[in-house]
Amino acid sequence: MIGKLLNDRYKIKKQRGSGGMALVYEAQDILLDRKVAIKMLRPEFVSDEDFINKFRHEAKAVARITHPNVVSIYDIVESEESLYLVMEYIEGKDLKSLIKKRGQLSVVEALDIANQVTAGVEVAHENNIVHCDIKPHNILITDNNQVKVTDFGIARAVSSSTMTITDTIMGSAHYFSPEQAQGKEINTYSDIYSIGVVLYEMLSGRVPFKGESPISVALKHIQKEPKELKEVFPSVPEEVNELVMKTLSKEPEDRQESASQLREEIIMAIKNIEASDQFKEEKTGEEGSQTKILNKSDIKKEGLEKEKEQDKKDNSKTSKTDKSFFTPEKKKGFKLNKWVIWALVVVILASASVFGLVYFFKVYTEVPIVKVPNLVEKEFSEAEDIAAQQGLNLEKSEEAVFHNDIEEGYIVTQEPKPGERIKQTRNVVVTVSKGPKIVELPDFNNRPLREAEVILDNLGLSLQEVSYEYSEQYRENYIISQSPEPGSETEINTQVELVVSKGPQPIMVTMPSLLGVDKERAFNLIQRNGLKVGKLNYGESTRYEEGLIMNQQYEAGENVPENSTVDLGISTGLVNKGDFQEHKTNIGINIVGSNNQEIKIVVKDSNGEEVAYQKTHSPGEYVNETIYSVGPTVLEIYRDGELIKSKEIGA
Amino acid sequence: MSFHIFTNIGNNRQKNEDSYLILQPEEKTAVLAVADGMGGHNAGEVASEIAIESIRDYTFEFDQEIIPQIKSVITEANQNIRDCSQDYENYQDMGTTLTLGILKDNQLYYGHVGDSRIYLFNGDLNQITTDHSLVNDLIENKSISPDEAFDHPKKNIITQALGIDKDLEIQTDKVDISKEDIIMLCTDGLSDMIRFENIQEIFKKDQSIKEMIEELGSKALTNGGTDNITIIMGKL
Repeated sequence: MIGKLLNDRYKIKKQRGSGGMALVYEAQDILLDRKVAIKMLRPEFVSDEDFINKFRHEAKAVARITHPNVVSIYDIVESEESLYLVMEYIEGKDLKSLIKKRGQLSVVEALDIANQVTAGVEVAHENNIVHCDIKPHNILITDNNQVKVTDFGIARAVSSSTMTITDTIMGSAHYFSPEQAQGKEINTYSDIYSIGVVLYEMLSGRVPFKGESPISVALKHIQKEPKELKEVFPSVPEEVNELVMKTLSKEPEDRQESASQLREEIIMAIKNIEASDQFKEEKTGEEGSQTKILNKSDIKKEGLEKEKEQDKKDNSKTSKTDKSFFTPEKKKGFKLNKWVIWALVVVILASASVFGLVYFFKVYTEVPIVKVPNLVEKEFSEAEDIAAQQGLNLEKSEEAVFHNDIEEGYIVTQEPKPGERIKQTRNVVVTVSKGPKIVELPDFNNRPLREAEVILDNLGLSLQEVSYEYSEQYRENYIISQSPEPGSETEINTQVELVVSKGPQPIMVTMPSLLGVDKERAFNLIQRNGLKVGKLNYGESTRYEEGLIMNQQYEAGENVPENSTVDLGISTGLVNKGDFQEHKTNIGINIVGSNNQEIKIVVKDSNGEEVAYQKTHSPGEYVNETIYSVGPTVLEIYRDGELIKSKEIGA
Repeated sequence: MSFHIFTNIGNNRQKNEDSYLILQPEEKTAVLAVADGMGGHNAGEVASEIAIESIRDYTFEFDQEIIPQIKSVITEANQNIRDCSQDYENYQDMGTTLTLGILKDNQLYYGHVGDSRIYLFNGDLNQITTDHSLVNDLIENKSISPDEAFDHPKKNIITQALGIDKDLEIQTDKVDISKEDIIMLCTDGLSDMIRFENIQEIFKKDQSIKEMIEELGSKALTNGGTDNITIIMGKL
């Protein structure tokens, strides 16, 4: 697949990922000269009508949306053996790998990502599209921190009321809404639940429900109440806890009404906590997950027995904690009088001032939060200076990486990203370039050129020049030699030269003169001389009558490789612009004397003036030419430039 | 395969605005086309020539499906003419008919815009293409008979031409042909001068194709020859 040119247009560069239904490649659109992502239906599904319909649906659904938070679809291409989408190429990473790397995100960062995801989903909902498969794998984050939602793999139009998923439930179980897990009707509210799961995971570093199998996870979505976010992440602001837990309600009507309402709540929460981002980061391992196909029946049967036991255990635990936290205490009512009210006011005021003092203390003693500067492509020590201006320290990541464009010692990536707000005590981890990658050049001797092109491309090397030579030893299009030599260590940008075989040197034959010869004889002459008849082009001629050869691809006497094809022009008749008489004149000239002579015949007729014959002859030869002309004609014969005869015809 | 051409400026015109193409790109495969240019500031022959050259320059893949290629080459020709008329003031509003036939493996594939025609003679004469013309519309909705159409004063009005609109309705199809059949492509300089029955009579005479095409051409001229005449005739 790599190196293949699809539809004469998309050159596959490398594989980027794989999902349950499709493989994703990075490719170059050579027509528009831009990078694209190609999402190709897995070969085993191309024959599956149901899958193809889903795949096509993805294209149509997303193509309707233009939004900065939705990955654009440019094209859908169907051919006999494959079906694929051409999509916007996103330079960046997916949220899954971000969470994996960082464990958990800061509250503001998590809310910002959720806000952008919800914005993309909101516009989809406005277009009657339910995403149905929101999960961190499908949330891409560009290097500029732009969030893009992709893979509307099983999105369906809300307007088609039958939304029940039939045989298979797609998507990753961790992010299933209860209704999705049950195979019930799914709708826009299902996406809200899934966004909630993603938000829960970003904030706490863990998904609300874990299990040994997708089935057990799906069951928990249906049956179990999730642990409150603040239980697993105590420092979460209450407002955010409530927001997330509301999205995770089992009943759709208990969740936020719409994506736009969810967004409003997220934006409000960001506003309220923006100044005090004070949450610890803790790392938790995360199990990666590919989209799996589950049968509805699997969930009902297989999982149940095993899960019941586990659930019992889990439930008993949670119910204990529930009690200690939530058992309401009975309060005795008492009567209030004025004095009591005044006393209360005083107490409240006093405590308010204490609270203010605590708040004051907290703000001014706590480590300041600063914005991370952009350090990418800066030299390390320069970056240290820039970071120092914000009071931040740099830390080199353990491994330096190869980079084509960024010089050795310069920074390739940084964590956290520019613009993010972090505590000053936290180090900025930077990855430094080792410069361009050095690769060992393979031996291409006696390998086909095409293969070498692919290998070079994969290694990041480019082919500078291909020169061709005849060779008895190497087959046509096989490589004879290369520069640099095999095994030499080359930088990734090095250009490689190859010498390629043209096959054995062909036998050269002499092109016969065919002008004025009739078609059948010309074909005979071509074959007798070891050549082949090529394209025949019919047209009117100023010089040759119908059926005669009026031009030939190679001049007579030229050396041509054996078996070459020769294109011929065949006259469909003389050009006759009026109703002129057509003439046919035979001219014979004996070459006498002792020197070579150039004989030239010039024709002047209604089609203009033209040299009809010009050739050098040795003594003893005989010139015999038939000249066709239209209307009143003058024929002039020259010997070595000197007019020796002039003939008027039809005057 | 053998082909013959007759092309003549006619009795009244200053220029021959017809263009034609006979090409045998490979053995047992032929590309035939006629185009009848019109309009612009004496630019009809430019339009018809662009149409023909667009076909000559097109790389056909004869082992692939032919009809889609016919559609694409005609669409391309249309665009080429439109580009040219936008670039030169003299060439504004020029247009052309285009009738293209490809002979391959006992099949004739064709694509057609305008009122040039393809006829097939297999003992009887049949017009294969449908004119994109006003009178043909009138015949089809039964306002006039074919016979009345021949003398209709508006018979030169065509409803579609290359170079005018972006969107074309290209008539395409294929027909089976056998070794004895004669294929004829012509511009309206022939079909407007000689009635169908009389063309058929000439086909039914026992004579060579060369004699036939000469007779058709000179008859069109003696019947008036008011327009340029171009005829291509050939056999498998």
